[in-house]
Amino acid sequence: MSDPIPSRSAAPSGPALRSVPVVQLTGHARAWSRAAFTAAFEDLRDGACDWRLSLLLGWSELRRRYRRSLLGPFWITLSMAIFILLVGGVFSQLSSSSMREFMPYIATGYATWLLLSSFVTDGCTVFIASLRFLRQMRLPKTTFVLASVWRNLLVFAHNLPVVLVILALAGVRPTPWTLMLIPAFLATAAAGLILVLVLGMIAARFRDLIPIVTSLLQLLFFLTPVLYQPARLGQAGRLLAFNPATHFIEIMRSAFLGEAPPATSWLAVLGMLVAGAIGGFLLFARFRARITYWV
Amino acid sequence: MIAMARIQLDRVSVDLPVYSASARSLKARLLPAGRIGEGPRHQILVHALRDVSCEFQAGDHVALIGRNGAGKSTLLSVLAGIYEPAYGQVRIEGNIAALLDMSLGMEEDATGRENVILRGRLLGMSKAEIMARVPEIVEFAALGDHIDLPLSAYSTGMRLRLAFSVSTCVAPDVLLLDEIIGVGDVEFAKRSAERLQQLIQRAQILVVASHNTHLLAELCNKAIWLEGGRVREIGPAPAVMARYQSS
Repeated sequence: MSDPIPSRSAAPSGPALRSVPVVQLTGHARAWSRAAFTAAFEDLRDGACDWRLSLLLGWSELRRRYRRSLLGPFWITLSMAIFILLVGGVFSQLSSSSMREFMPYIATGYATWLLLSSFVTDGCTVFIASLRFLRQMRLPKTTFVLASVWRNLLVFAHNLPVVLVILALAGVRPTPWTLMLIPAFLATAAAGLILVLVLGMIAARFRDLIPIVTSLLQLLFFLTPVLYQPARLGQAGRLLAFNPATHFIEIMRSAFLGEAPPATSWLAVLGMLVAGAIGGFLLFARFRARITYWV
Repeated sequence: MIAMARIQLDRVSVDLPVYSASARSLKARLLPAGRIGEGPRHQILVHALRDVSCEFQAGDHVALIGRNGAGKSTLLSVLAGIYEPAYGQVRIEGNIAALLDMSLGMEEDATGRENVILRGRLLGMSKAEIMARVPEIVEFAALGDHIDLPLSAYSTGMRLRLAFSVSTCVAPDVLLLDEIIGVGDVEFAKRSAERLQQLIQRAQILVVASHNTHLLAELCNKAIWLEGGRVREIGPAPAVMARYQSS
C-alpha cells in the first residue's frame, strides 16, 4: 500500500534540515509583560502573512449570508440605489439644491457611511462569531479581524457601481484631486482594522456593547453630514467636527467629487489613526490571550 | 536529519472565568453596587489546571487519565495552543494537530467540497496542497456525489466522516486526541481506525485522553494522572495506570 498520509515533516522536496514550528506560550496573568507584547506582535505578523486565509474566510462568510438568494450580494447594491434615489430626491428638495448637485453628495457620503458603520457593527461580533474556530485551533486573532475588514470592503465594492453611475450622470469629471481616493480609502480601511480589533475585544467581554453600539450608530447617522451640508447648519455645523465619522466622510467625498479635501479632516483622520493604532495595540497586547476565554 | 518534536510545560495554570449574565454586562459595573448586591469584583474562576509541569520527547506516547472534570480536555487545549495559560510557560516544537471536537467549524450552507477547502486552509495547508488532496479526501470519506451538496443535506455520520477525513489528511509531529471514537458505520469505523493508527505511528509525540484503559495500555508508554486540575502522578504508563485503576 502506498503512503496515503503525507507527513509534513518529511516533505520530499523540503530541505534536509527543516525548521520546526515552535509554539511558545507564557502566562497571561502578568499584565504588560514583554512576552505579551511579543505575542501580540507575532499575532499581527502571522495574521498578515497568511492574508490569503483571511480573504477566503471573508469571502466565504459573505457568500454564506447570501446563499440561496437570487441576487446575492447585489441586494446591497439595489438597496443602496433605492435609498439614494428616494432619500436623495426628498432631501434635495428640502435643502433646495439641485438634484444634479445633491445626488453625488449624498451617494458618496452614504456609501462611506455604510462602510464605516459596517466596520462598527461587524467589529462587535468578529470574535464572538468566530467561536467555533477559536475554540478548535490555534490561529492568529488578526486573521479574523482581516477577514471581517475584507468582507466589508467587498460589500463596499458592491456599492461602488451605484456611486460611480450617479457621479457620471451628474457630470462629475475626474481631477487631480481624484487621486486622493487612494490614500482616503487606505485610511478608511486602516480605521476599519482598528475599529474591528478594538470593538471585537470589548464586545467579546462586555456583551452589552452590541445593543449600545447599534443604537448609538442610528443617532450618529443624523449627526453626520450625509443627508445635509454642514454649512447649512450655521454655527452648529462646527460641532460636527467632533464626530469622527464626519472627517472620514469628508476625505472620501471630496476625493470622489474631485475637490480639494479639507486639511482639518485629513489632520483629524491621521491623528485618530495614530492614536487608535497605539491604543489598539496596547489593548491587544494586554488582552489578546483572554479572547478565547471570553467568547 | 529530522528535527525532533518536544513538549515542555512549566508550572502551567489555567483559570476558566465564569461570566454570568450579570457579570458580563457593563450594567453590573455601572450601576451602584447596592442595587445588585455583591459586585462582580470577586469574579468566579474555575481552576481548570494548577501547576502542571511535564516534558515529553519524540517517541513518547502519553496517556492522559483522570476522572471527569480532572482537566484532561483543558490540558489538550493548552497543548493545542487554544487556551493560553494564566501562569507558567508552554513550549511545543513541531507541527501540532489536535483531533478534539471535529464537528466544529463546518459550514452548514457550504458544500462538502467547499468545507474541505476551508478546513484544509484553516489547518495550515496552502491552497495548492489542499486542492491536490481533495480527490483523495473525498474518496476516503466515501461521500460520492454528496460532496457537491450543501452540508445540510448530510446525515450526522456523513458529516463526521467528512470532518475526520480532512482533519487526518496530514500527519503531524505532535498528535493530540480526545477520546478515540469510532466514526460512522462499521466499514468506515474500520478504515478510520486504520488511518488513526497510521497517524499515531507517524507522530513523534502522541497525547491521548481517554477513559478506555485497555486502549491506552496498548498505545502509550507514559501516563499523566490528573486530579482536580493537578498532576497526581506522572511516569511509565503501566505503573501509573495500575495505581489509577486501583484508586
